[in-house]
Amino acid sequence: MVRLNMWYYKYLCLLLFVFIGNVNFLFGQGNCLIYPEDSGERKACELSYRALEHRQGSKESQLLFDEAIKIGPKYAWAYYQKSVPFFKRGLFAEGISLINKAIELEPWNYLYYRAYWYFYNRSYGYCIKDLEELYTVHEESYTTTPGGDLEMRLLLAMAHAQSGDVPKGIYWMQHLMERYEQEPQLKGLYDHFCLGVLYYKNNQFDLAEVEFEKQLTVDDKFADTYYYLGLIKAKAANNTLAQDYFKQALAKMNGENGGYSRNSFEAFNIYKEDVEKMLND
Amino acid sequence: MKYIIFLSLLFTFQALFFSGCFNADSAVKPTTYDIPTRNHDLGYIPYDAKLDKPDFLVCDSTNIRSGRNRLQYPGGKNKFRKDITSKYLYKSDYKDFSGYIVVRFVVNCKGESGRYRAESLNLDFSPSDAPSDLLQYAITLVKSLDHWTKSTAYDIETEYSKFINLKISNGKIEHVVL
Repeated sequence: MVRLNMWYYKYLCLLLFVFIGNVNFLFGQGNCLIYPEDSGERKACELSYRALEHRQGSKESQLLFDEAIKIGPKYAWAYYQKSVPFFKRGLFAEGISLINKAIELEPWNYLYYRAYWYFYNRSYGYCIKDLEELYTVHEESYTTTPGGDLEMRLLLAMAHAQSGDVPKGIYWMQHLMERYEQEPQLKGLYDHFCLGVLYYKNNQFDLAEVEFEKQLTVDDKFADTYYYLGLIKAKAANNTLAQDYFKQALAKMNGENGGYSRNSFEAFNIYKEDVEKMLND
Repeated sequence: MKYIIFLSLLFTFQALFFSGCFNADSAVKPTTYDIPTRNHDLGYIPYDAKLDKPDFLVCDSTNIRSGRNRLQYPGGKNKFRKDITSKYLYKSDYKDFSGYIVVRFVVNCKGESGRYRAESLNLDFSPSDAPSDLLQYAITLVKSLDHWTKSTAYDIETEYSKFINLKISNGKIEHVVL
């Protein structure tokens, strides 16, 4: 009887997962079947998928997106997809006019993309405006950068810090950490690092150290964490430990034992010369 | 094996069910739109006799690649930022301008750069008016740092478009995005 129950629950779970998967697949972004046949949106959707079969930025794909927009002017995904290669090639005026149209139609889906490009180009005021609208007005619960590696609240927090309001940045990072309490598996690779940097910038060194130590449990190969730990130890006049951290940071930057650095944090990026300078001080 | 068969049947059933709900035959209906004729890639910058050297050629205008790290500057991005900032000469005529100057160019199949263009934008990326000599000056500066190399040996003949975005605040370079 117990075995039968186990079997039953196992299949029930499977059934549920497959059902959810299918619903996501069928109703997901860009699935053309959800639009009535012969509607502008259905045709625009089909054309947009055909455009994606061509290389991004190619004339073929652009013309198919043009056609999609002409037939289904209310189909936001076509504007978004068409904007992507413009942004990537530095054609910002054209890219922004397209993404603005997508945002006009579905702000909850596309504000993050415009904010990403504002952040990347250090237009922090506009980045903050878009992301605060996304998280407050549209109550977005979790959305990442286009590459999927950073939750957008990291960018929002850094944008506030760069605009001179570090406490507001900390507020948004804490807002994100609360989100992870419900679903800890969503936590990214650099969340503790980012919060640590903000605490450091706000002169809350003890709290910063706690976050950097947590970061090491998530990823101990990331050089920048060691650099900041070195700065904290230097502030505490513990020069021996500080130098030890800086040496570790440099070793990781040189790729020793799988170590690495990355430049996704714009103004918070750490370069080898920063570490070398601290080692020589 | 049992699981795989079970999942396959279930998936097929649901896909058919949902397709049927929305439209019985639309999923298999062929689309009737024609694929347009090949032309240029978005990254291609057409030749302009007033601006460009006639001997700078683009081998394949339909296949221009882009990517932030596909073209490398000796010493890295930070070195480029330092070099361009130190070369930049502020003029009082520029003081009223804040926004972006975006310089775009192409590195062709021979590894030469050309077809430089510049435009000015506000911080929300809407077009703006910068002093015209600032646009030309930005091009001259970027051209003077023409030491781009392709990231990998195998793509030596691949052609790339590249942009350098100068964020200007009251006529001075605040940051360089590349």
